Amino acid sequence: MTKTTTAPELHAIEHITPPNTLRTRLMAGSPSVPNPLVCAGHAVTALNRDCAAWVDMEIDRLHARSTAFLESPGDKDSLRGLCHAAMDLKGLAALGDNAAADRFVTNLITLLRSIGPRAALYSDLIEAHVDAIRATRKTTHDEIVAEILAEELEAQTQAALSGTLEPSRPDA
Amino acid sequence: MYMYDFSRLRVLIVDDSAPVRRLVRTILRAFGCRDICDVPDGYQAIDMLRRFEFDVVLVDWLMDPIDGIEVTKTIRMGEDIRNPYIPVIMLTGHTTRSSLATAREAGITEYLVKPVTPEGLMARLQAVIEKPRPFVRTATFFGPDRRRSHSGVYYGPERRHDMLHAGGKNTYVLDDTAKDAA
Repeated sequence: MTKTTTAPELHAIEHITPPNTLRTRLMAGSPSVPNPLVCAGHAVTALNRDCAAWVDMEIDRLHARSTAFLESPGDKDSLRGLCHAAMDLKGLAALGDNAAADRFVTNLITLLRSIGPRAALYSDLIEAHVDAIRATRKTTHDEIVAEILAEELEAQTQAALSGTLEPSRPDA
Repeated sequence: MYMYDFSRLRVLIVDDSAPVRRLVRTILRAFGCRDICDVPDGYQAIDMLRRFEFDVVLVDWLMDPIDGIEVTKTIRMGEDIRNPYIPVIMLTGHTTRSSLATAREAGITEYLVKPVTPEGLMARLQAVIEKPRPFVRTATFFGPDRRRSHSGVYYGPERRHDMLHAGGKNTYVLDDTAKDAA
């Protein structure tokens, strides 16, 4: 079967290969640091104490944003705000030696990004993620419990994505 | 392996999260970078790129009031940008095929998934230094070549459409047989 259509004006793609002046410049002198990855690793480790405080701050922001989203589930801005807070937390959690928070928030991002505003249907699941993330700050935080909880939340998230999880707020 | 004099590298960091800016700055300083500028939003970034020369831009995707995609499009297609060829490394917390495609369509050079680590950042810097992508310009796009290989000049109106020229100027035949065969 053939179809005929009228296409826009023909145009060629112009290929441009700029000279690699950056490499030339960076290779002109001696290396600035003998082993940059080792140096950077030490520098990041030194940041870890600050990182814990930043993670705390980001967890508070995530909590506030999740509350706002669940109060107005159809609002794209509140969804964007929640995604934004989750992404920022993910950016720091792994560095602050908070692997559990990193895992929970990664899963939360998967849920939010995969089904968008419909995530509000699963308000309980979102709250469970946020509560789990907040719990990682407690000194009594148990790694084994966190592991079991993470597996459960991941399973429920997959069920939500496949449509087999019962919505907690069908009216949202 | 990493024989670069990073003290000559001029970097612009664009991220609305102060901790992430500090983290990236810390890693870059440990690499030996001395010329680092960071700003918390896209408008300030564009202003800086109009006024100063940089070698690399690290830009966060999710920002307000304009996001990293808009910043990248402005770098590539905007007016008065000093260096529209500048490598843009996009920072993001989440990747999917569609988000990667969106970022490429905007004109990013590389993609770095958070959390930012020294190894990840070094790998992206090494890529832009050692394997800079050629640029392409069409009526609707200017940026790094999104394809891994190309055969030269392209005459079709859209990529990967099996459109056979059917005679008159600007007239094509969409041939399903040819499409299936492809």
